Parts: sequence; structure tokens; C-alpha cells
Amino acid sequence: MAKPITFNTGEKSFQAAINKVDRDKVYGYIEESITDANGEICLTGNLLDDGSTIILSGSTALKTVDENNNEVDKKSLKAVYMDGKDAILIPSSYEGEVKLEAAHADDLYNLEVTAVYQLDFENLSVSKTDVLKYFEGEKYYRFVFNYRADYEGADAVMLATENDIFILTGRMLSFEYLENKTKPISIDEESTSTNEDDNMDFGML
Amino acid sequence: MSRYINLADEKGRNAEVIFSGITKKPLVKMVTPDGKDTHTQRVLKGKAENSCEGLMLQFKDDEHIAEAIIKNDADIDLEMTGRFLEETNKIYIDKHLKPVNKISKKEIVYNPDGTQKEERAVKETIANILSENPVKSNGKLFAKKR
Repeated sequence: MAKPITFNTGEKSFQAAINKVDRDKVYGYIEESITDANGEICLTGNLLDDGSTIILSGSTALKTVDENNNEVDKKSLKAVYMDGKDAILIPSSYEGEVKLEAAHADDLYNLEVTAVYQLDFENLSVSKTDVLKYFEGEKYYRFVFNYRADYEGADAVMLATENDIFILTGRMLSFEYLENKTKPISIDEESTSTNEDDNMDFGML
Repeated sequence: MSRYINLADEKGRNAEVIFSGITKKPLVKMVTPDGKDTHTQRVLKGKAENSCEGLMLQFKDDEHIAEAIIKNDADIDLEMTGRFLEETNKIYIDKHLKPVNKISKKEIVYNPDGTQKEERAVKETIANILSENPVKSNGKLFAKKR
């Protein structure tokens, strides 16, 4: 069984392991098969901007470079916030206790989900039935999820269905909505002028 | 480039409006020890001819490939390896690593257990957001909790 995480709702704490819900294993998956005129399977490659050099998938690498395009050893780099201050490392969710904050259904709608995990209570002191009680009254919890120690954790929402508890991780987006703060301009009915001066004789042009 | 969607309300009033994804700026960046900015650059490791597949086509077996690598560095193109890459174009290539002009596509659908379910022609999804008929709301509202 996977290593458990300790969660704290503010009143009670409980341990649970998490298992990633793989979409392919739930719904199946589709592969695209590409063949040439002879029915032979094709590979994918890339054509460079010189128009003649072909490279295969996996033939490129990402390098960190400085302003002069000289490669920089990743071990020598340091993380800073955008204002230049040293970034603080956020510990992994597996280290210490993860504090759950009360959340709202809106948080769920604002979350751009990248992964879904299901809580697993096998061989743990607390049962799923006990923990499901923390979600009675359609409660949601928010927290910062960090699989590994990192400088920027993922936003996460924990919610329960009738029989299971899930964690949705991703990033919380904020939206700016337009609203009618000013009174709409009233538009009069289009005037139906019958003034003969307004009528142009196109035949004169 | 802006993307548009042709939207209509339940009264049939429509408008073409711009829509875009929401970007969230990173909170942290990586800098050199003296605080200078860095960026990530995509570089070329090797051309198709220098890949395992390319060397197998040229030298036919592992022994000859090993010999070519030891003698002539056949797995590296000294002119190209390490070159910075900007835009590349995806192409399909045949077993001889040559571009293919005429291709056939099909989809193979697998069950959750990995067994093959069916083979089918690629389903084409027709764009419906900027067509003559706008995307129309039916006016129904749902409780968020649903």
C-alpha cells in the first residue's frame, strides 16, 4: 500500500493513502495508427527549419541557459520569487500534516483539474465510513498539494461522493466578471421619418 | 491571434465574442547564483540518421553500429548536435526514415483492461463555435451542487 498522508480538518486528523485515478483505466483509450500508401506503419518525426533535416521523437533536450545562451548547471540554480526574494521550499504533503480548509463548490468550479486521486484507507486505523462523516452536508476542503517538496504546490480540493473520497488537484483560477454597474442606455424606437428631404434619388448620381 | 465564439442567448440575440484561456503566471523563477535570469532552450541531440533506427539502416547489425560509433562517432553529427531549435514541423516518416506524403489514419480503441475494442476511421469533429448558427443557450440554469 502507498505511504499515507495525514490530513487535518481543524478538528480531527486522519490518515489516508492516495491512488491516482487513471482516465485510461476508467474509460479506455484511443491510439491513432498512421500508415503509408503501402500499408506500412509510419513514425512521427520533425522537420527542422532548414527544410531538409529530419529528427525523430525524443531527439531533442531542454537545457537551462543564461542570458548569453551559455548552459547553466541546474544544480547551481536557485529559486526566487518574481520580486527576487529567495523562494521558500514547500515540504511534500507526505511530510507532516496537511491542513484542510473549508471550501465552497465555487472552488471546485474554479479549479483547472490536472489530476484526480482516490483516498484509500486499507490497513489504516481510520475507516472510510468514519471519514465520510467529515463531508456530511456537502462539505468541501481546500489545501495545497505537493507530491514532492517544491517551491510552488498545486491547489487541491477534497470532496466526497456517496461512497468514496477524492482529491482533485490543479490550479485555482480567478475570473473577472463584467457586471452592469451603470444604468443601461435606453434606446428609443428607430424613428420612421417620412421627410422627403431625407430620401436620396440614387438615379442622380 | 484572437479566437471567436458565436454565442446566442435564449431570446436569439447573438454576438461574436473573443475568448481566451486563463493564464496563471508562475510565482517562482530559477536564477543563476548571482541572480541573473535564465531560460529554457530546446537543443538537438541528433538527426534521424544518427539515431538507433538510422544507424541500423546504415550498418545493419549491432556489431557494425558499435564499430562505427567507436571509429567515427556515427551517433553524433558534430555540425548539428547541440544546435538550438526554434520551430519544427511534425511529419510522418516511413521505415526508411523518409518523409511520407500520402497517409491513411485510423483509430484503434482500447478497453480499460488494454484489450482492443475496435478499429475505426478517424472521427472528425466539426467546429461549431463560429458557424452561421450560433451556440445557443437553452436558458436552463442548474444548481452548482448538481
